[in-house]
Parts: sequence; C-alpha cells; structure tokens
Amino acid sequence: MLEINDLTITIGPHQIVSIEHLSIPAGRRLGLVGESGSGKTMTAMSIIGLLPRDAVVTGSITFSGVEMVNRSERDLSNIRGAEIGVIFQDPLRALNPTMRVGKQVSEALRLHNTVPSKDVKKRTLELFEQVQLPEPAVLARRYPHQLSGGQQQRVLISMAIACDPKLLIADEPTTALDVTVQKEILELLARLSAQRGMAVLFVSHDLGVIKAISDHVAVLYGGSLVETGPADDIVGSPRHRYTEALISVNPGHPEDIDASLGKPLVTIKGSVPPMGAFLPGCRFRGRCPHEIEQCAVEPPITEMTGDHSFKCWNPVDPAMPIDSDDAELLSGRQ
Amino acid sequence: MTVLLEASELFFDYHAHLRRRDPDASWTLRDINVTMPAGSTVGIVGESGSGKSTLVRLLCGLLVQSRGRITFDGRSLTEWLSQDRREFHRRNQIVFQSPASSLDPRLRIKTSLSEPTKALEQRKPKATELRNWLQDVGLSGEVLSRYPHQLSGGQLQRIAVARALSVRPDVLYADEPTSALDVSVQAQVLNLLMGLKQRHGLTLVLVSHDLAVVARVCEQIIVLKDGQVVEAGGTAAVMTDPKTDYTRTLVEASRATSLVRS
Repeated sequence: MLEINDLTITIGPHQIVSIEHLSIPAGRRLGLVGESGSGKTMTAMSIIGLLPRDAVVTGSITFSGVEMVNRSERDLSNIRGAEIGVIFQDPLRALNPTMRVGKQVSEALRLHNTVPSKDVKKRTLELFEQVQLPEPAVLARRYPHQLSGGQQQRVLISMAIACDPKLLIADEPTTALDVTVQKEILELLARLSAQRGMAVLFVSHDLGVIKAISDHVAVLYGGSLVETGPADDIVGSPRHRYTEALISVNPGHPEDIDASLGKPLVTIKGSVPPMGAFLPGCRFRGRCPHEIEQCAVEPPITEMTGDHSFKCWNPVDPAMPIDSDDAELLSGRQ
Repeated sequence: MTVLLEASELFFDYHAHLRRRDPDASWTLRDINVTMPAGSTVGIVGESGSGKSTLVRLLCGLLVQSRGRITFDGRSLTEWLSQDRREFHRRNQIVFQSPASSLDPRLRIKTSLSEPTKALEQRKPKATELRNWLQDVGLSGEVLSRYPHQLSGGQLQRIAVARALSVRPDVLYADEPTSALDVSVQAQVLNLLMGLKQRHGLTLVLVSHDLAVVARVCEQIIVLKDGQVVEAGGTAAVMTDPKTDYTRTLVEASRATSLVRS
C-alpha cells in the first residue's frame, strides 16, 4: 500500500536519507528503528511532505498507487489526517492547550467532512471509547493539562484515527511515557490496527518497543536502510552489525539478576556523527567492532529467504548467537 | 555496613497549609520508611505521580517533610539544615532528568561546572580541577568553552554528573537520568554511574519508571505507588517473586520490551 523507491532527502550539501526500497502492505505494521540522528523522522515525515523547507526529495513514494513526492501542499493536506493519520512524540506539545480536547477531535472530523455535522459530537465520544478513555463525556470537556500523559496520547490517537486512515504514522509515541503506560498504548495501537486493517509505520529508537508492536522491522543508520526483515528474524537472528548492537544495548531481563547486577551494560562505541560527517562506505564504519578493510566500499544489499535483507560486508554468523565475547568487543570503555 | 541515611514514618503534602481545613485529604507521600547503608545502591521505582521525585527531594533536603524524621550520618536533617546546610548539600548531590534544562543555556559549561564549588566551598575551582572532573566522566576539556545547545543529550548528562560530583558528595541521587536519552546512550550513562560509584565509593540512589534499568544497577529496590511503599527488598527477590500485583505489572511492562532471549 505504501511503497518507497530510491528515496533521497538532501538538505544543503548533505544527503540525509537514501533508501533503495521499503514497503508496507495494507494492514501491516512496520517498525523503523535507529538512534537519534539516523534519519527515522525525516523518512517518516517525507511520506506526508512535512519536511523542512530547504529539503530536496527525489525518488518515489507511492501511497495507494498515488505519487506523494513533490505533491502540492493542497493535495497533501487533504491526505494528511484523512488517509494518513499521524501521532507525534510529545502529546502535550501536539495538543492545543487552550481548547477542550473533545473540541480538538471534533475539529479533525469537521475539517475532513467525514461525518455529518450533527453527528460529530457522538462520533467524538465513540472515538474516545475506542481508545479506552474512561468516562468519554467527562474527559471531552477537559483541557490537555488536566489529563495524564497516557490520556493525552490516547486523545491524539483518537484524533489520528478519526477519519479512518489507511496508514498511521506514529513517531516515538511512547518515548515520553512510563513503561506501564507504554505497554498499554502499544497494545492499543496493535488492536486498532488489527480491527481496522490499518497499516502502521512505527518509529522508535528502542528496538524493544519496535519488537513489541511490529510485524516487520527496518533498521536505519546514517539515513541508509542497513537491514530489513520480519521482526522475529531481525531480533532472533540479526545479520547487520548495527542491528546486533541495538539488540545488545537493551537492558532487558537477564536470567540471573544477581550475576548481572552492577556489571557494565553493552554500549555502542562513540556516537552518531552529525549530518554529513558519516564516513564513505558502510555508515556504521568507525563505530563497528567488526570492521574489515572492505567496509570502506558501500556494501551491497544481500537478500535472504523470507524477505530478510541486509547491507554488511562482515555480517553476524547466524550460527553464532550474540554472546558475552561480543558484548566485550562492543562495549565502549571510557 | 553503617547506616548513612534513615527515614522513618515520612509524610508529605504539597498543600500542607490546607490540611487543617481538610484533614482527610490524601498525602503526596504517606508513611515512608527508608534505610540506606553507606555505599549501597538503591532504586526507587514507580509510575508518574507516585511520589518518586518528591521522596528524593525530601531525602536531599530540597523539601521539608510534614511529619516523620530523616537522619543523615547520625544527625537529624533539621539539625543539618539549620546548622550545616552547605555541608549537607555538599554531601548530597542530585542529577535531574532533562540535561538540557538542568544547565543554564546562557552559561558556558565552564561556568555551570564551577557553580557548586563556588556556592558550597566558596572558592573558584582551578582549570586543572575542571579538566579532571570532565575526564572522570569521559569528556575532554574542550567542552568547557561550549554552551549547552552545542552538545548532545548524552554529553550534557555527563556534565550534570560531573557537576554533581565536583563537590565530592557521599550520596548521588539520579532522578530519571536516562529517560530523555536514546537506549544506546542510556547504557553509556548507566555504565558511567556504576563506574563512578565504584571509584568514589558513592551511595547511589537511582529513580526510574523502568524496572529493567534499575535491576541492572541497584541492590535494593523500593516500589512506590500513590505515595506509599508497596514493596521493598533485594532486587532479585522483587524481580523474580513480586509480592504485589502492582510490582508484577511493572515487571511485565519492562519484560514486554525486553530483547534478552532465554
């Protein structure tokens, strides 16, 4: 339903994103994962044309067969909200602080003429029920600051699904929330997506969160898609060294709590270079503990069975699971 | 191990002045008992609004309890604050959640880093001292002349830690120090805190909503809900055999995003 081909996003002299191919079939959930500065949000926002003014986009993004790149602002704003819903990271900043939340959801419904105006109020309350807000009629009259973070995010979700979108873009929707609330929101999104056959593009820096919600995972680093595949394959048998590193940094639930207590966690050496400072060849070069000479040359895409592909010269051997030796190698000692 | 800090039957309310009119109103914190041996690592866990940050602020003397007693190193907190306020704050330092807002955006790092020494020891730190403090948290001296907006979240949090440690405290309180950071950076900051704890023999109090994080760092865990301690004990015991439904919810929530394969 959504298909991206040869997409590049350039700002000034720097190419920020370069994606050969990425697609989301109708009703499926794709997780886009990478550290801050790897181009996740840029990629997601390019779909709905919400990029900085000086960004130049080439290539093709088709949504339900319609080309989205270089579309007029007028066409895009008809699609945004109606056919593609969006949820942003910080719920408090995405809501108007001076307007009751019920009215903000009604506004979305009125804007896209989805329901006759006499039914708008009723529909708003139905939406609140679907996102499991307690006492919809009472909450609808509250202002954003009177709601908890989780409730605010639920209001935003109800707004994003108000017009029955075919695709929902969720950019770090749970990062500002507690883990308990995060779990509830992830379950809610998965349920809504299944009930409505709505595709979801879920963006996060945390592979643990991505794994909990996605069928399919795309790992982004330095604006380049380094590995894509079914979620279970990506987490269970990663091939790219960056994916392996992202799995290792998850604090997780160790089997032996006493043994892991106080032991250093695995880290990724260094930090994401600023825009335009990535080395040529493999983007992960310089931070990767398994670098070989070939890595100075851009690695080709290796396709495997089961829709799993990666770009790495010295990939993880699937027969050798990530072990503590790797953890030693990866940890960036100060 | 000697007990460094002890709090018994703590009650706290942000609207204490209104209590006389409404004595049945719920407390922000209710009947809290904490014992912290010197050199221990204690994790305070709970959801937003459970009173984690309030408890930390009480323990390090930034708020005053309505009822109950806090003893630090054999003396009551009231006595510390009235007689040796500077010395108490020097020995109890805190690092906050958002590194961007805990450093003044108009001050160079050099100035921000010097503040505690100026305020608590009433002297200006030497240039070599500033460099050493930064080195301790894995940063080079060149960040001294920078402003906060020129640095990354991870770097700023390191600076916040260096600033807290510049006055050689006994206890370091870290209030959600990694919540605003990427998971990859989170691991670096946690390793830094554990390393510094070892090197300086600190007592570390880590506040977090994420049990997975606390379980890697802390020997003891205190679970707070609605201002009350619902469970407290050794980390392994709390994690593997939670006694209350609430703790079980927390364990499950952090397990939901765990990637460790058994």
